[in-house]
Amino acid sequence: MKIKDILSNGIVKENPIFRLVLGMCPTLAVTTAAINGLGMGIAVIFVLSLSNLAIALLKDFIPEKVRIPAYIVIIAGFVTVVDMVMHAFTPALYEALGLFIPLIVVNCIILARAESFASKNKPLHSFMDGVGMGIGFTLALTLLGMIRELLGAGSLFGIQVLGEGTISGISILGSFEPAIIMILPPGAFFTLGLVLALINKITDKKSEKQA
Amino acid sequence: MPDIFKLGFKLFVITVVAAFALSITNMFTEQPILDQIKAANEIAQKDVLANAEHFDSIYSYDDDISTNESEEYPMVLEVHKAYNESRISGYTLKIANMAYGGELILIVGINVDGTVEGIRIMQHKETPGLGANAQKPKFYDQYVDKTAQTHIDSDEVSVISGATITTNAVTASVNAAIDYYNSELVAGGGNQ
Repeated sequence: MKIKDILSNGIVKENPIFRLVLGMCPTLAVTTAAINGLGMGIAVIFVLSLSNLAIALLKDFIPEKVRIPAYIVIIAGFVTVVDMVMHAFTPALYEALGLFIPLIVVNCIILARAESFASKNKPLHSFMDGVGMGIGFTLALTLLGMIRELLGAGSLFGIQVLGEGTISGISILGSFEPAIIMILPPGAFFTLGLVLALINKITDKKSEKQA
Repeated sequence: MPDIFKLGFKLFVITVVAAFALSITNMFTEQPILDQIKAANEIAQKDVLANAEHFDSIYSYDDDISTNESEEYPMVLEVHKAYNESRISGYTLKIANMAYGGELILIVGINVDGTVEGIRIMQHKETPGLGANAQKPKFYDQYVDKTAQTHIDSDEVSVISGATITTNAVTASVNAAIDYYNSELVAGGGNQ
């Protein structure tokens, strides 16, 4: 397997959100704004690539029967280390991402990739799988966050683009009234469902053409 | 039977290594983290009391947990006296309150003239796009220059649309700071 293929696999073919539909809990919860999706994604890239690497290195040591508790200890350990190191030495980054770090422990993408990829592959490949999956996750979350923020608050990455109080010039619709439901939990389900349907439609068409 | 010991032992080794790695990390990061928290606090204190140069802690909820003061002012977490050169320039009070999404911690600066000089939200769990707009200057600057002699009335502050609970929680927090200021700092001879 080529490194390039492993990377693009996580971003497109097996995108963790849109294709594998993994890690729905943080996806629905944090995508109220584009910047949150991006922050959570970057934090996941960190932890996923490191935990994949560690598990690939230890795969011969970890006994089959107790592999799940072993993975959980390793993942939780990494999350805590990343949290403490960031808090201590990169305060600006911590301020932006700190909120999301503890949430990563409950993100099932990490455990799923440990189980289905890192435990069967070489360390370098596993690391790259973590990076690819992490990027795919980041792009998906940022997209969902952008849609919800735009419709629900009329802004993008915190900059007002629709409705009241816009910087003149970029204002598209002056009379835009934000649909607050889009940044509340139901909006997460609406957005995810519609984007999933759209992506399925596109991939269906592609496979029909190939067939 | 021996199999179970082998599994248990390997799992034990993994947890011991993980615990060891965490304790090493903690050893190196504990002090820097405390320094960061202190620095962030000081930045917020300087934001709410512009001409203050240094701060002395005069009250902390955690230290005085069993005293009457902590029972009387359950929302007041910390009080600092601010100095400009050697003169007292005001007080900063850190207040915790329950808002819509959970605990909301803010810092209020009251200067020696008895006016609210500024407030900053330190921590919150409010809904982005609604209650989280309390972090914007457009909202929190409404409290600037309000007198600390009396409570701020809820209709003196224009509500964040869709976030009445957050707005009321912030106003109640500022009023808790005003209460503490009037009864403990002014009456208690704190200005001398």
